[in-house]
Amino acid sequence: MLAALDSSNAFPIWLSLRVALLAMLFVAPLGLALAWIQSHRRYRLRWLVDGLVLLPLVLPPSVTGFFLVLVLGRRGPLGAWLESLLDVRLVFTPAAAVIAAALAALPILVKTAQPALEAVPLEQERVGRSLGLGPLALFLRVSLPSAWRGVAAGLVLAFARALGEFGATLMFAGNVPGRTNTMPLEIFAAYQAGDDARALTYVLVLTGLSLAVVFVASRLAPRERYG
Amino acid sequence: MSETCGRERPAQAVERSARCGLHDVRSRRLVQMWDGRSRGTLTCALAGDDLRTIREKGPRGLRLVFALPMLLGVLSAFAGCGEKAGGSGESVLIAAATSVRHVLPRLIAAFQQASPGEGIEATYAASGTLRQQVEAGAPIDALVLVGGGDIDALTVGRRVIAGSRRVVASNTLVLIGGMEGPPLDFASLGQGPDTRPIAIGDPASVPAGRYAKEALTALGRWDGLAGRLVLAQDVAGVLAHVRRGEVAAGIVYATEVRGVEGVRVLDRVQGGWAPRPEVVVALVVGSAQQARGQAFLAFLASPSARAIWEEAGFGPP
Repeated sequence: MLAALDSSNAFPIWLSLRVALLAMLFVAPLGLALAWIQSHRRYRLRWLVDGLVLLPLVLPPSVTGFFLVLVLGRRGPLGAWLESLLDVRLVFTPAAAVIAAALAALPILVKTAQPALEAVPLEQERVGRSLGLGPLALFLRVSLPSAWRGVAAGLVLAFARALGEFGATLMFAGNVPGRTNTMPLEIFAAYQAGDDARALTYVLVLTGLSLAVVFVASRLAPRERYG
Repeated sequence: MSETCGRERPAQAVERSARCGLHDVRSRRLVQMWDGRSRGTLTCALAGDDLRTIREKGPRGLRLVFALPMLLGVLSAFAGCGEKAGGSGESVLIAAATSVRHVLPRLIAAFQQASPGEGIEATYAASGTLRQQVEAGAPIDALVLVGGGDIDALTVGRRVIAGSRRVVASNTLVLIGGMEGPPLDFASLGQGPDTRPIAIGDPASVPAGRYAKEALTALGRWDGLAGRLVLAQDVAGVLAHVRRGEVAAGIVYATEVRGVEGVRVLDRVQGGWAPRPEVVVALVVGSAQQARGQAFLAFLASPSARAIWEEAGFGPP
């Protein structure tokens, strides 16, 4: 069955990997910055940021997809602006798939990395600061080395979530063969068409990838026992 | 004792807000708030107490108050989730192509009036999707699909009664677009600098998409549109993409655009290369309401139904 993977059948696999990797390029810095701010700063609207970041995790992907089309569609405020100013259209493009995947992955990273960063002893960071480290150097040389397991687990899980994004992708990026047909979309389309063998191929690939990710994440989880 | 202070105890082990806050004003205030809600006597984690014990000191009666309705809620959620095996019960369930969703309710009403009896219900999806549902054993009594392919496949698989297949109406394909934008036509589709997406139904499961592919291939336009075709899950999805203005054009049945605002017909499929979408009906094997289903399908081909089909824009079989 996997022998049936010629170039056009392999496309959804490569596309999914590329979309997820590109999404992580945005999610990693943004998510880590958010996780650090939320774990180290108390400010007035902290609860709001917390909630907004968490929303794509608790809302159905169809709601996320609807919001994306509403805001970034051709008739949406941001979408119309992008088109008139930069001649950029997002709906039904691979870029839309990246945005949908990033939005889904962001809360996973923040929620996994935040407790890890919170667990870094305050004393260590105070010492670092007293020795003249700036905020970025403090993060890279003190907090991150201490919390890297949780942060790495968050990155890996977020990647898996980006790889598996379906609902918002279908609404925002559509199913354009050769451009936006990621593996989850391809599975759905093949199932609708009754091509179970084709669906199963991608199901196996995605399951294998996700198993590998879960395995890596579980090895990364903090293993020290408390007591 | 200072060894048990929250500094050494990882934050995840206890409530985050209750980390030892001996030197941290913020945390100490939170711990005192816990105290204020009379959930324990803890003022500082240094006392050797840990949060888990405090939680257990919470009022027990309260938990029952929450647990009982929750249990009832969970149990009631299971009610009605299952489906009794073997037929759909009293009424006849018709699984119909998305493209007949506007006309079929009228036909059902006319039939009920002409011959009162068991109720007739309809569910709508792309024909290919419905074929999957029948193959999976969904309690469907009769099918009203577009194109004979799906019904023929079901006949071969003995899911549909072979003699019950009948063509009751026909349709035509049109190219539609929004009110603004350049007027496209089938002949020039995929040529020129325009790279905006075109919506069609997924040819693998949506008959309208299959016909669109057939037409575009016959015109030699299919290959030129690679990477621009947005595949919708049914013909209504194509219409929605066009109405939202996210695609330059879409290919749907002529019957889809009747009375729909914000959409105009750019071109019609006609001539020798034009595929002819047919509405095909059949009875599902093992239907508990076979006589009633059969009567309804016969009605769909009757002269009185013909008037309703034509009023909705469908052609003769």
